[in-house]
Amino acid sequence: MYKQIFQGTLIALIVALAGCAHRPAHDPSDPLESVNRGIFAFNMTADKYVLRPVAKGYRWAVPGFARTGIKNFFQNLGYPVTIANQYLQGKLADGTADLGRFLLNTTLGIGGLVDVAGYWGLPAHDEDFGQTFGRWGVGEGWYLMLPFLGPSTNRDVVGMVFGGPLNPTYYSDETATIWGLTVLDAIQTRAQYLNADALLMQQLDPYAFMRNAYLQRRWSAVHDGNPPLDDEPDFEAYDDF
Amino acid sequence: MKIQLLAALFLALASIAGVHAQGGAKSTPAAAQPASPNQVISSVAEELLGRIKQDREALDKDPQRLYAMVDEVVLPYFDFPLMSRLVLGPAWDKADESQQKRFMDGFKTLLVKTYGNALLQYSNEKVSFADAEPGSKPDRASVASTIQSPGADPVTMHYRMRQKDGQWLVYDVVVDNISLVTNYRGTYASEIKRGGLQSLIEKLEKQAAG
Repeated sequence: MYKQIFQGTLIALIVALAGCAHRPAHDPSDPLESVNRGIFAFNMTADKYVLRPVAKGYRWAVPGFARTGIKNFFQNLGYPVTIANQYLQGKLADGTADLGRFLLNTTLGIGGLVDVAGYWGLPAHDEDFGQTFGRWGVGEGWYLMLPFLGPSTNRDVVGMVFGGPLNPTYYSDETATIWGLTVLDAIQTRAQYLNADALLMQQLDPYAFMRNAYLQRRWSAVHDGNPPLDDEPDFEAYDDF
Repeated sequence: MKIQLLAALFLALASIAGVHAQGGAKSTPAAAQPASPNQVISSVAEELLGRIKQDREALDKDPQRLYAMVDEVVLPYFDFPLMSRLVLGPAWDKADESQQKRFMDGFKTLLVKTYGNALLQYSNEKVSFADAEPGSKPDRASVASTIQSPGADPVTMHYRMRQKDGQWLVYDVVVDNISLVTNYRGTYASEIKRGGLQSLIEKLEKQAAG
């Protein structure tokens, strides 16, 4: 019962969002900015005292090849989301190639640890429900900063909820295992980006910088890396320069 | 996802420098002809790589020396007036000449610092370059480069360039589909909205000095 109400609400939300147009990243829709900034400050503090030090330890203690294996494992675990969304976006060939990639890496690649498919020329893709909705014409809605999870939008939050059941861990009763995996994934993801910290901290306004980067990247992902250049500044006018 | 973007941006900065540039970079383009977009990018990478190898300890200890090196090696290949103009957007036209100059200087110093510090943190990355893709006009081009570090996804970046008086100059760096110019433009636009251009310039100068 509760679940149905929840699903109904989500669908209503998507329909409502479908009316929202895309806004360029330099002019984002962020009506919750003051709340978002509060959550951002909280996230940064939690990161500074917990996640970042742990991620540093991980990078120091775990050799590069093992970190690559762990990264591959988590990428493979979440891959059903990519496959399903390739099909939902009508990209049948890509979806089938990604299905092959998933099967290869899960079996020959020892549960995803080794990217066998990558060596054989099947590159990894990254699709999700947020991108599919975007492809279908749903606007981002508002920019959101989620506690612990970081930047998102109304559309991408809904997409995240839809993606949940496609992750194999969704069907496991092993609470301890799930938590273990979640924590490890958070650490290994954070470890990949330790070197980016300095760049963020050198910004006049780290919040705005991150918002802009997130929206640009999602806009590009919706268009599989070739977005219409709505953000291309009016270059022609500067040719005299 | 989240932190990825920043990482990507950061890597961008690091890789312009190509801390461990791979692939044969031609450091001496034919004298008569202007260097092609690829030659510009790869020769800058090679030059920076050599300098850092040779001088790492001193550069680590003395930031001023590091910034001076970046200034000398990288800046000649960046179209700073154009970048500054693109970053400010409509605000550029409303600014008076001294504001434009102050903004340009502050922005430049800040980029050099950010970039220099990024450089020193990288050591094990593999950087490869692809051939230049032509842009929308004959005087535009984009050079792609891929950076692979252990335990992380490869990051692709594009140096957007334009030809000005025969010389190819970088005017934007796009990392993992995030344009640096667009990103700074967005950040600065909200700053201008909040406190005006003058306040942005003052903050920039303060940060550049600090």
